[in-house]
Amino acid sequence: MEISSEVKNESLIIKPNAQRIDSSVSSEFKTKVLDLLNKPYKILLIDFSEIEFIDSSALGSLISILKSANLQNASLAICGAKFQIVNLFKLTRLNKVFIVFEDVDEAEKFFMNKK
Amino acid sequence: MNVCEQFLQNHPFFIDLDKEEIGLIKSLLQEQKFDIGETIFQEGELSFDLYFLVEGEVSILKSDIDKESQSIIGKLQPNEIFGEMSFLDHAPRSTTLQAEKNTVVLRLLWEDAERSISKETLKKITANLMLINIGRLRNANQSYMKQLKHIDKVQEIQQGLLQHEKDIREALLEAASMQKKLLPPPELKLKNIHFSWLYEPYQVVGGDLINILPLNENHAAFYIVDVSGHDIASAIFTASIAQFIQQFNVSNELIQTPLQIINALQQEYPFERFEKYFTLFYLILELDTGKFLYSSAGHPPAVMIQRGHKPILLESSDVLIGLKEFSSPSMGKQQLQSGDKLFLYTDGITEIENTRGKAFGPDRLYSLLESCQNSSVEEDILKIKHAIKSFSEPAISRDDVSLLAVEFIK
Repeated sequence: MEISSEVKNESLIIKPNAQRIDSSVSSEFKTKVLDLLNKPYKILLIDFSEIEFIDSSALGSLISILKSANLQNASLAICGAKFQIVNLFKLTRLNKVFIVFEDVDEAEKFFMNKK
Repeated sequence: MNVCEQFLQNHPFFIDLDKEEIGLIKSLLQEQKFDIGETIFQEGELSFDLYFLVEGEVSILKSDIDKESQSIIGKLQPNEIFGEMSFLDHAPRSTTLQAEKNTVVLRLLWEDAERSISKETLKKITANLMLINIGRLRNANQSYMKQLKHIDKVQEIQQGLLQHEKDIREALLEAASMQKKLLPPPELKLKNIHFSWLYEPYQVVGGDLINILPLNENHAAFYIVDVSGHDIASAIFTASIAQFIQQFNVSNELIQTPLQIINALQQEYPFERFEKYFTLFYLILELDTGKFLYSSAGHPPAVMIQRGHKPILLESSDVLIGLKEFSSPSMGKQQLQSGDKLFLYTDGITEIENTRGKAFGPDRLYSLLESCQNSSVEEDILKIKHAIKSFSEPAISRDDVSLLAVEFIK
């Protein structure tokens, strides 16, 4: 699984270039993101705009990533998630856990204003 | 004495030949040089010359069956003869010979041999070449025997692996039969309740759990669990959850509400403990009246079917189990009338995809469940099973598929 990443100010923006994250790639996804989290960023944005489907193991990976981000006092937000994925977050009540934004731009604006 | 003459001293090729004969043959030999990688002759080629390797190294190559690649089947060192088979039988070259190092050979052209060497001498040469070949065959036999032994060894290892795989498979099947025992036994009798279930792990064992716990004369708990992942670890996790809920109910004298159960589970199973989470739908039913209390932790909504009505969705009130820092569960209340049904399921059903990648989806499930009226729960399960199958085939589910159907009849 390919993941592109970009550092902007104090944010790390990560984008999985895949359509699905399921049990065949979820642990690879987790490891790669955790490897990128080796520096203390303030904000971690995960760009989900390519993703069409995630399963329970992918949610597990997201939770692992969230826990690591929290340990570093970094905020985690998910950007550009499609309708069905936002629905899954609602269903599992993870919308209370992850901040979800329309896209990366909106997330950046939000964190800028917060400063 | 030049290189060639030195080389030809005492070569087995010349056994039984007199000085004159040897002198003649020597005069026919032509010295030839090949650079590294150069081909001396090609497999399939029609040429019958005989070669003596003086210096360097030559590899013998044979095409694989598919003719697309070649393998090295042997290497020749100085003093060896090659090309003798076509020299003897005039059949096309059976192998390709290639210089592995800078190589010097002495070549006896077939035309020269035929023209200048007498039949008597040729007979002797033929006999010598055959002796040389017999020696080679012996060596080949020995290395063939060695290879056979090697094959035996490989087969032995393969046998071991197969046995190992069989053992694992058997252990898994045993685990699966234990996991089946965690499911509600069909012989379980509850007042005013009919139930049936569907449980199809994606692999031999699964991360789903369905259970019914009689709490006292008039109350029973019904619940469904979906652990993240569907591997052996997930299956072990379901056993731990079943055990915990059982113990939690037994050790408390009063009936524990769904809310208390969820709070206890959030405490017991933080995500960090197993790096896994689960979703759960839990309800306690009063068997006399059909009244029930329910809570859900991130689980797909249970569906309540009342005759002649639209399905009622019992939505989740709490985050999935494992994130207690975000947990704030609540409880819902409903009542079943005689003939009403409840369906608890895991997302394996709604996420099942057909070959075009389209998911079964919640809406299709709701309308299917809505049609489950005036039928027994056993018939409902068969109908659902059939609907999933005909939607998805020939694609197969990539998740565990579980569903519990409960009917209240008074």
